[in-house]
Amino acid sequence: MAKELKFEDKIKRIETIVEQLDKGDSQLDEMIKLFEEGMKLSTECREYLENSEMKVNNILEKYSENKE
Amino acid sequence: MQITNQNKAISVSELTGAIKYVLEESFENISVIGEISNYKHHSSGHRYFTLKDANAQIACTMWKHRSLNFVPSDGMRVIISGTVTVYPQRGNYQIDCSSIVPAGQGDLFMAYEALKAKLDEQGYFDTSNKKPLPGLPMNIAVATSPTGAAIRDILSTIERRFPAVNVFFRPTLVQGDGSAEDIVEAINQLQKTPAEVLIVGRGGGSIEDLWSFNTEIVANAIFKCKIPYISAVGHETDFTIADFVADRRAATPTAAAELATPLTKSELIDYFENQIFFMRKLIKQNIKEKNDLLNIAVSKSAHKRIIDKINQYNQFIDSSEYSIQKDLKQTFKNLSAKIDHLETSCRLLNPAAPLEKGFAYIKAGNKIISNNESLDNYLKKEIELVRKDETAKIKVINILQNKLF
Repeated sequence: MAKELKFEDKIKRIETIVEQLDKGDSQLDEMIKLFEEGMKLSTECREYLENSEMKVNNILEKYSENKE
Repeated sequence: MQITNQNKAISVSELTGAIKYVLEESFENISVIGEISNYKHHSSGHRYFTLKDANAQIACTMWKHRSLNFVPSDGMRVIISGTVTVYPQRGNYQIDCSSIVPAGQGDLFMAYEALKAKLDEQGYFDTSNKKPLPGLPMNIAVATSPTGAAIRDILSTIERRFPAVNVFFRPTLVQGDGSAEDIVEAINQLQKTPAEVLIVGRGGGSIEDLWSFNTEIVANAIFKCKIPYISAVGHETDFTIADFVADRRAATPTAAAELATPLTKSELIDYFENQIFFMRKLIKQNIKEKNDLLNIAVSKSAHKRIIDKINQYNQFIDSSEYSIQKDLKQTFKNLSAKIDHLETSCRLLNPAAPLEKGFAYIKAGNKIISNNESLDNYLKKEIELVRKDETAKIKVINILQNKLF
């Protein structure tokens, strides 16, 4: 991939992959490729979400500390 | 008058009239000193008593419209002023008193005690009747002598402590004839000014000097006074009736001025500075609290929304993964089923398979002779019978049609 997709684009891509795999009319090669791409994207998305949650918690904690 | 004329009898009325004339003309505006006995203050307001000494006594009346500065009591030595009058209906003579004053220090003290007891009984000294002094009066009324040290002390104290105060000064007679009446008038006048507190007083003196402050009319005026009243009569040790009735008693005129200005100018400035500081602190604190509350509310709901979104995405990713894995598994399953099927088919088509079961096939040269071809073509010719492990060269001798099938 030339350019890293944004999170929302990745989600869209996963949706497309699921749809395509659901149809089940692709060639096995093609399906495996899609499957691999899907797993890769979902892992990345999951990491992204974990980081986001951590960021939110950090912000919250930092804010609470400032409160006297 | 010819009342003793010869032996001619005169009537009782005529005689009494003559006596009345003689007595009332002769004893007009006299002063008599004596001891009070059998004093009666009738419900009508008139006073009746007997004035006596060791050897004589005389009936006295004092009508209710005459003012009395003290409460007389039996045994008190007094000087009365009045006129002898005759009461013809009874044949009595008596003194119609215009004034009564205690005759000496001991009597003044008795009068003082008597009035004190009376007023105390009437609730004049009750603390529940005392008005609190104002916290920061801007107008102070003063009634005292214009020439004494009292007014100088009061004014200089107010000037020193709180110069912004307006003083309403009413020069007042505080001693001698008419002083009680003047004090009453001063109290009544000063109540009508904007003053929030009233100081009435004078310097120290003898019991006679201070007497107007022991009179009932002054006590009444103080009791009815609508603004807080500070009494500053005499020195530390001199207590007057006015001091007891007053809302506050000050030992000296200076102390009275201090009571009337509870806060000095600099104390007030300090107070304001403190208040402003406190106010600013409160406002700052309040703003901070509100701000914190707002921020927490915002961050909490924002946090919740973000977490919700993250959870939604997580769920989506989980279900997507599940879905694509399921799809792929299904595909594998489908494919392997297909492969199984093909394999079975292949296995069934293997020409060697029947040989395993004991069947044989025949061939001529390299060509397998199928069922469609009749063996008639090979009569008397040599062909090969192929089994699993052996091949036999055979000759077709005869051909029979099978009845088997």
